[in-house]
Amino acid sequence: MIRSKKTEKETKIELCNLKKSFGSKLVLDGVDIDVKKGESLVVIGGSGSGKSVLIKSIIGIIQPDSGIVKIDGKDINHLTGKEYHEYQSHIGMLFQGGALFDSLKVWENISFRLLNRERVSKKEAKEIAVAKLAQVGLSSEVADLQPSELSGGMQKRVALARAIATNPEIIFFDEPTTGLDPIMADVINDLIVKCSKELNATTVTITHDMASARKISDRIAMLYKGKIIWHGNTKDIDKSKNDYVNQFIHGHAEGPIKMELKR
Amino acid sequence: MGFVQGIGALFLNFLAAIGRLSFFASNAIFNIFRPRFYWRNVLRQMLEIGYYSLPVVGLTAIFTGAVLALQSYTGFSRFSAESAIPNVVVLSMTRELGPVLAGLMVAGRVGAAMAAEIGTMRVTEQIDALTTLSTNPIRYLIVPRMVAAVITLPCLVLIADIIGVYGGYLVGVHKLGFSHGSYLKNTIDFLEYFDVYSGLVKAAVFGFIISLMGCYHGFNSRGGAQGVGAATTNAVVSASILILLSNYLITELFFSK
Repeated sequence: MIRSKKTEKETKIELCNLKKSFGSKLVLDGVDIDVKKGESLVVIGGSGSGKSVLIKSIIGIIQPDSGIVKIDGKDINHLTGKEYHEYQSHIGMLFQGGALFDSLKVWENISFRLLNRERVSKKEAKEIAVAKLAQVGLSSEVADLQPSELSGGMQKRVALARAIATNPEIIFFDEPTTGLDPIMADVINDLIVKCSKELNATTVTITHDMASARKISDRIAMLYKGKIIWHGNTKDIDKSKNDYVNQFIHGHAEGPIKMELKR
Repeated sequence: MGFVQGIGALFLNFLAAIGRLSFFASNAIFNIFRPRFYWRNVLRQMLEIGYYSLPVVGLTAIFTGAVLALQSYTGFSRFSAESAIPNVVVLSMTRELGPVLAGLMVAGRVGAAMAAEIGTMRVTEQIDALTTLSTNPIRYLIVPRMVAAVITLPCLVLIADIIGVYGGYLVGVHKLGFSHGSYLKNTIDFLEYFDVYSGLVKAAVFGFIISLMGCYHGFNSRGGAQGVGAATTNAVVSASILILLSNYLITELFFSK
């Protein structure tokens, strides 16, 4: 990836009019947003608002129907195989359920890319894995366990270690605190902030946990019915004067957002 | 009108499914020849498909060979053609029953496991995770299974052939009064290289079918535990039917005049 000489405020990720539908269901209806280098963007929104599809479109797992995803000014849907691989090697992703490979040991999970793509020796890969485990607050004994032997919070930490194992420039977090108790959720939040700072990484997080969103974000965008209906700095979210945002951040059942109870 | 529409929709869905399957299969085959090739995964799958299927395939073969000898005796003894029994056993085993029964047993054992494993990886986002870790899931998961199945099934069938003949031999010698020598002589005299060879070709095709169905249904499973369950069922049923269908077609190709 070509790095331009410009400092701090260059645009890292740029989405233009991104659209995606599955069958007759329109999931993304023209999303425009950009993320600056080193910035942490959190996308909030209810279940089914298209958050996951958005993040998967940026990674390239889902092809959008129309619109452009640019990373460092390059349209990722028109990359050659080699360029796409190059792009993949600069991103990390923390999946909602961890998505650890249950047939592999913890350390093999963490150094998966090192072992399979970059041909690092086993010994070295394990050393890196142990170092990354330490970075997320786990001891080296965990390295030889199977993922199924770990608790939910530990699985999340291991998954985080895997996401940051190759020092990515961009990290995506898919609901990092879902399914964790409040304390563990805060531990994960702290780790996310710490790790992104250490790597100086650009991060995009999707969540519906407002405590987490406030803690890890520089900027927040709200997705509703496939559109970004509000975005701004985190400190401004309480004075957004947007009824949708207010309803969401305060978690009220009454308001402009109606839960679709039947299809 | 509704009825005709229904038939039309069914037919279109059928064609779409064939299209998706062909695309998946050609994508997998194309990826066999592209780096990188995961040898370790191939070996692990060969162990899983071949070695661990030996007991079930062996048991199936020995009882099938034994029952073949027993049944052909009840028929042939009516016109004093008992000497043809070893011949019937060995030809049926090598040409048809060895590959078909081994294929069906492996479809139930391995096809189901493939669909369940890959399906679970799909619904828990492990396949997406592979992509984000710069690893092509087709190359990492699908290609090793297909290569392993195509290599391993002929080996399994060869073993099933031998065990099946041995099952017939046990019944022939211990129950039907053949002497060791004459049973073996009758077996070998009538056996041609081509009989075994055609069965092994069938086995390779069945291996392809089993792995393709297991991987395809697993890879495209949706919606949690229920989706994985449906994928497993579909994988076994479609593999079994395709095995029987392709068995007929290959037999037609090899043996019809």
